[in-house]
Amino acid sequence: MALTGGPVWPDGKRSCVMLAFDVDGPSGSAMVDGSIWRMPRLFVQGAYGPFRAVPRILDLLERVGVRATFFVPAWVVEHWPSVCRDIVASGHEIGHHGYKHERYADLSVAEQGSVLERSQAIFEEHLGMRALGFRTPTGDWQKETPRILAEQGFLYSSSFRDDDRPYRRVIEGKVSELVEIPAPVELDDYAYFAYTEEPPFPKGHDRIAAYRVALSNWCKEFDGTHRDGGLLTTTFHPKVSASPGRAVVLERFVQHVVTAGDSWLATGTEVARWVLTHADRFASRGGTPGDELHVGQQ
Amino acid sequence: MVTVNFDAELALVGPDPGAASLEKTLSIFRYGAVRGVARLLAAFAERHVTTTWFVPGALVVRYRSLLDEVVSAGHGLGCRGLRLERFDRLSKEARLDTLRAARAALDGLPAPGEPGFRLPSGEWPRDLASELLDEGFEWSSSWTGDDIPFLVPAGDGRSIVEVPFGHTMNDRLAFAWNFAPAIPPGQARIASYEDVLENWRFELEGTRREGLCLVLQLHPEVTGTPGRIDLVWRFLDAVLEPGDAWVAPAADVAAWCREHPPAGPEHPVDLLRRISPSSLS
Repeated sequence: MALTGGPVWPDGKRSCVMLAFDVDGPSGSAMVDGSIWRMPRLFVQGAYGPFRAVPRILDLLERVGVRATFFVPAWVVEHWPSVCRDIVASGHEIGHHGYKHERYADLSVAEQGSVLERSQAIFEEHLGMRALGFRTPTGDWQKETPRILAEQGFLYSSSFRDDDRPYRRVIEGKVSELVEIPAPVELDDYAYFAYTEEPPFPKGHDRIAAYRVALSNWCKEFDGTHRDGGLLTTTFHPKVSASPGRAVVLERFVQHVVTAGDSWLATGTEVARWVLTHADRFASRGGTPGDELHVGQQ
Repeated sequence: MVTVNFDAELALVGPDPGAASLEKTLSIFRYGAVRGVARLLAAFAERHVTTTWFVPGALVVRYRSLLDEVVSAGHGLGCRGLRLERFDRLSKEARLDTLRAARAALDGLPAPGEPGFRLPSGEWPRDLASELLDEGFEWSSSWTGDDIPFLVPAGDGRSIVEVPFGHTMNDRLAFAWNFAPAIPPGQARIASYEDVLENWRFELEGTRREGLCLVLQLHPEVTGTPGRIDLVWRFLDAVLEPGDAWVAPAADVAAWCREHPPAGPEHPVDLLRRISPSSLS
């Protein structure tokens, strides 16, 4: 498949793009540890995402006629329910991204389950839906996490970096019904634009990248994905890449993708269902590499 | 809105008094007073742009004649503490004393408009909006997180007008550099001048498209150099060329917003006040 095989996407489409946004808002480690309540400027900078940037992105997507996937911590849904209802009403998908953007690697199995259940209840209350998609907040999960996701009825995760095609996850030795849609860091706006005074981000207070350079990199990754017939998804944070000027860049990137003409622009659930119904075209992979490689063991 | 942070040597000595002996490093910041201010003033005068200068009160005596030139050209003033204090590390009494002394220093300069405030660095103490009002400051330009001015609640139905900025529109973040002490901490390379100008133009384009408020932060020692003043010229020309941008000092923007308070859903600054754990109040 992909690099050498025939088309794997619907209607003979050449590649697939899952445009995705992580609407973290002010959630994250400072909210998990409570320090955000003494950092009003940081809170307001984060809140810019659901407050200003998501409506701007919804307008943009409507203009271009593209549907996207939004991973939203349930705390953000609780505090900006009408913005989140607008996301759903506009035909986009909402997926799980923690309650306060907890790092799953820091949670016990029981805690992971309760974050998922609590968040699904909030989604049902405010949005009348349950999430089918999952993206790890702040990096890593634990080896039990995919099993918990599968048990709780999740269809896919979009968290890993290890492929440019979706694959079915192997859980405890068996190919599962949980699809992984890998998300490359090259399309993560944090790597280009995110900046906070305190705590400093980037840690050495590196420069904000040239918008032109970010746009060029993103377009090149799409061009290569399209050439090879793979899948490209994005980790765009509205608070980071939808300032008035960066939204112009974002729109040019989406236009670049749309202009290709034969790329399948799909939501996470559409991708996952396609993978599950065409399983022979996609790989399966999973387990903890550390187990095979004996990382850290003598 | 074009703003200038005239911190001079206090950019280094304010946060770290021990740096007073670092003559060479201090001279980086002195450059603004020696050369940069004149270049910026000339650029503004040629284009008939009225700007806002934020000045730590302790500099008023040292740079009196330079600051007289600034205000006599019609530019407005804002307070940046006395010595770029971190307000979140001062007691309430010390904050009030600092604001009072800084206000007295600024009042010695015959600037047009009411002086406002820009937080030098650090977080915004919970009671700062009310303290600023008590000391006669009606507006601030200290926050990120919005593209138009908003009202920061000060309790008892009072509020201060905030004119927020974005980090892209700050020349210091793009260009400031020093060997030791390391500026920025990771000693990132000096950014491409043309790329930074292009970033500013992207933000201008987005601002124009939606009718928003764009705030540029300049530092005399950063963009007052022979090579970088060109960015200021070209950016201002891009702002002015279509002829439909209101380029105004912060006091005028704040006064306009006071009369036309922003409508719309609850602002995050109000949400924060509503949901903050009561143990913090």
